Amino acid sequence: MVFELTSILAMQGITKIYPNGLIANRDVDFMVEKGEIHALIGENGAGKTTLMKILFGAEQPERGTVHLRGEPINFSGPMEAIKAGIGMVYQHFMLVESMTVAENVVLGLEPCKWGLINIEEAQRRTLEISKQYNLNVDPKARIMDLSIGQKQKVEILKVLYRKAEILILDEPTAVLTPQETRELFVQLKEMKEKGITVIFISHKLKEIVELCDRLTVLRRGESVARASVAGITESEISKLMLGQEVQLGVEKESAKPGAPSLRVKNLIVRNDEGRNAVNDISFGVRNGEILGIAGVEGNGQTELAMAISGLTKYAAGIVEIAGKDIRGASVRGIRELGFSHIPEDRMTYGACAFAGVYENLISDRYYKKGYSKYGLLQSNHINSEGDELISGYYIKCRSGREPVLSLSGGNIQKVVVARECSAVPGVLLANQPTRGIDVMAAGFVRRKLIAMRDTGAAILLISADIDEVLEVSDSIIVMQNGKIAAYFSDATQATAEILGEYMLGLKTQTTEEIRRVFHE
Amino acid sequence: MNSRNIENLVNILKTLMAVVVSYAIAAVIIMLVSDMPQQAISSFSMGPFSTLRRFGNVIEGMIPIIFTGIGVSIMLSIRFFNLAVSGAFYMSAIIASAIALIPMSVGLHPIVGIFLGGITGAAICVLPALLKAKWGINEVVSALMFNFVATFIGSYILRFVLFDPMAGFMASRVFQDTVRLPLLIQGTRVHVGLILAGVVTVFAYIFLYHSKWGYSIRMTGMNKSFAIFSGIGVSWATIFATVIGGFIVGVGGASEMYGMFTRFQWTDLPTTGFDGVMVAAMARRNPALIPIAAFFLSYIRVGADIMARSSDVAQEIVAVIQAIIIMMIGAEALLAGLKKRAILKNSAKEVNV
Ligand SMILES: Nc1ncnc2c1ncn2[C@@H]1O[C@H](COP(=O)(O)OP(=O)(O)OP(=O)(O)O)[C@@H](O)[C@H]1O
Ligand SMILES: [Mg+2]
Repeated sequence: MVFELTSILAMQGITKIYPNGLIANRDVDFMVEKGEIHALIGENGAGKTTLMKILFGAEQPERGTVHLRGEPINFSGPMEAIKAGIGMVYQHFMLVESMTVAENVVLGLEPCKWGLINIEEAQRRTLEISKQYNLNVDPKARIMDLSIGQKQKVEILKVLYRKAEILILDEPTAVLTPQETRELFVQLKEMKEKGITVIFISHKLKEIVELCDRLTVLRRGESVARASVAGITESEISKLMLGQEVQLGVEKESAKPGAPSLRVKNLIVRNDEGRNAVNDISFGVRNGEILGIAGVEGNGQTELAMAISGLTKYAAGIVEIAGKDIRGASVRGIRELGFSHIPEDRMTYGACAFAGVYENLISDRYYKKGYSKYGLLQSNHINSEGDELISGYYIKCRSGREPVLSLSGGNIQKVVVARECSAVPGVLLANQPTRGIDVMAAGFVRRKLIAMRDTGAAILLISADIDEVLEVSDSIIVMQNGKIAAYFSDATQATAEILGEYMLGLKTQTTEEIRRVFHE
Repeated sequence: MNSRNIENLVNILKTLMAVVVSYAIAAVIIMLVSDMPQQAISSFSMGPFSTLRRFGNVIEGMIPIIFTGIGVSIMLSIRFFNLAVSGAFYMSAIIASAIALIPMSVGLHPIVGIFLGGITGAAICVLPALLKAKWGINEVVSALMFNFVATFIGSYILRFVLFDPMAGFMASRVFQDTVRLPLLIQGTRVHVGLILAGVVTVFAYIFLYHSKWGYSIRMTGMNKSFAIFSGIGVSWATIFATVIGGFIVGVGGASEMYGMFTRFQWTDLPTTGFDGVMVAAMARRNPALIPIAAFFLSYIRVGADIMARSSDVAQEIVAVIQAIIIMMIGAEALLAGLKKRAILKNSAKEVNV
């Protein structure tokens, strides 16, 4: 590899071995030019996050050199990287849950007045950049009360506040809506004009084509390709990534819906401020049908999901699963009605980071027949079923005993999906099911959802990815401000544009039209 | 050797290293304060092995610590830091002593007493968990309060119920012979409680790592939100962990009475509860390692005792060593470098770097 003096950043021969002996980067070369938007792509577990953590000083490589503006550097920690003008948005958020948005944004670089932190100033500055970049969040809200999408925005605001010259964005768009993504891209392009360099990680090929100038591909820890994005197609990119052609889209027959297995009637869910986050909505999801919920993040989807799954209380209304009213039922009781849930936040709810993969795969069923007998866990059965799920869902790990903590983001997501889908639910609530999963595996998960529908499951799909909603759903509702703004009984009648108008509240259907989704 | 084994090995090494370093520091201190350092150090380190009787003292001392250590490990697995183990150990010893005064048949007597001791331990350890589940009361504070309550109730019972006016000192009446646990090793006071402790260790290991209850306890301890999401009853799991842990502590209190004493005469909480916390930390909550940690703790105590009697160094040196060990084990970073190097070498072979 020739050393390019003009590169603002040159990482050469990087080899990283994790403490458990896993080789995450193998002799990787990675060059970025000043003022470009450079995509770093590759399958789940290819080593993207690892390489960026090395650049950011959060991990130390075993071998290799890093040159920044032609100077060799060797960061021993993120603080040094930040001082050198590098900012990173982590794939899994690094926010202090009990503090407010503004406090998180200014953390470490607080505006001070007479030696004390000036909270008003922090809030003012946070509001200012959130306005400037159109990433709207309330500076005074506590992180723990925010949805995943809002947390993502806070993470981005945090690096913007630090005025980085090199921005590392590790899957920033995984939970953003198309509108928010578009806004972000406008901002990123503007920053590029100002000479800021951006390293962008995403599994959404469309975004790579739309946003980036050049790309580097990692495969199994090695850098295998570098290309200019101009003139390249999505399928060519996926071929570079996977070394083979893959089928990207999903095909499906039209649904043959039966009776509704999940019914929600006049449901009201209050959030912590006492506002009706879900405001009197009614709908039904029928067996053999995928009902997609489209909506801008923060319009009640999170609260709806939490209420249906028994994780929070609801103020009024009825939720029926398989014909049973779930009011007062325990989470286990609800699951035993045949309910499964892929949660939007995999690190909090979906997985136990310190437990092994096997242990994570049985959390909903460990007490059942076959998994335990006379109170003792049947490890033969648990492990062999675990191995089947690991290979069946393409979970990349060294063994089923490996703690989930040391899996890559997409692979952790696959663990959650594998558990919830293998429960063979009658009702599945899939909230951002393919978040952070690579193209091939995302196609797999979507086909899986459709296969489950074909065997009679009622699936409620919530996704910030409108293309996913359109592609997978049989019918669609739009949530806006805690209410249902529209119902499309045939998803093929909807387009991103049409949905967008309802999502932004520009249009609403009549009550009669919306009432059809209750399937009386 | 694979990397996982290296990790386990390093954890054990880390603990050993802590032991070695604290010993070295203790040796330095002894050399500073003593006029006969050689004598002191050798009686401190070799003394416990010099006679069967002394070695017996180590084993006797280890037995109750195993029980409390295991009990604490189970409770810590659900991140419930329950200091009520001290009070539980004490109260269960009193209840067992009361049972010991009632005439009963030979085989049955200790079984009844030990069982009721276990119930007592469970009842006390579950209280802070109940208060926390119901009203969110911090368990550290409530447990310390319960310890006071246990101390005063205990001395009340001793003074007014069990007291033997003929003894000439503050002690209960003499236990019935039927309650005594048989000796295990002649020439020492090592009793059948040792076997019981071994059984409890195996039970606890299987319970925590191979039973469905242990699974729910560990998952709740590691990520409560995940446990709730999965449908695990977390309040129930916490209560369950404290009941099982408390029961084991109580069994320890009762068997200590029946194995070692003929009267009850504790007027204050013994340190055995806190010893349990210490060995649980040393063993990183793994029941299988508790006996080793308990042996070590008992060994340095006996060593210090011998040293105090045969040299000019005071017994309090033990407290210093204990403190250093805890600090060293706490300092996880200590051997991180060592671990990494070993694993790297292992992986480097694969990549040929
Ligand atoms: N802390 C860790 N300890 C051990 N192994 C790790 C650790 N973090 C990551 N790995 C392993 O390193 C490899 C690369 O992980 P990395 O997170 O860099 O992947 P990625 O390309 O970001 O994937 P994704 O698209 O899923 O986020 C994976 O096989 C993962 O299991
Ligand atoms: Mg990643």
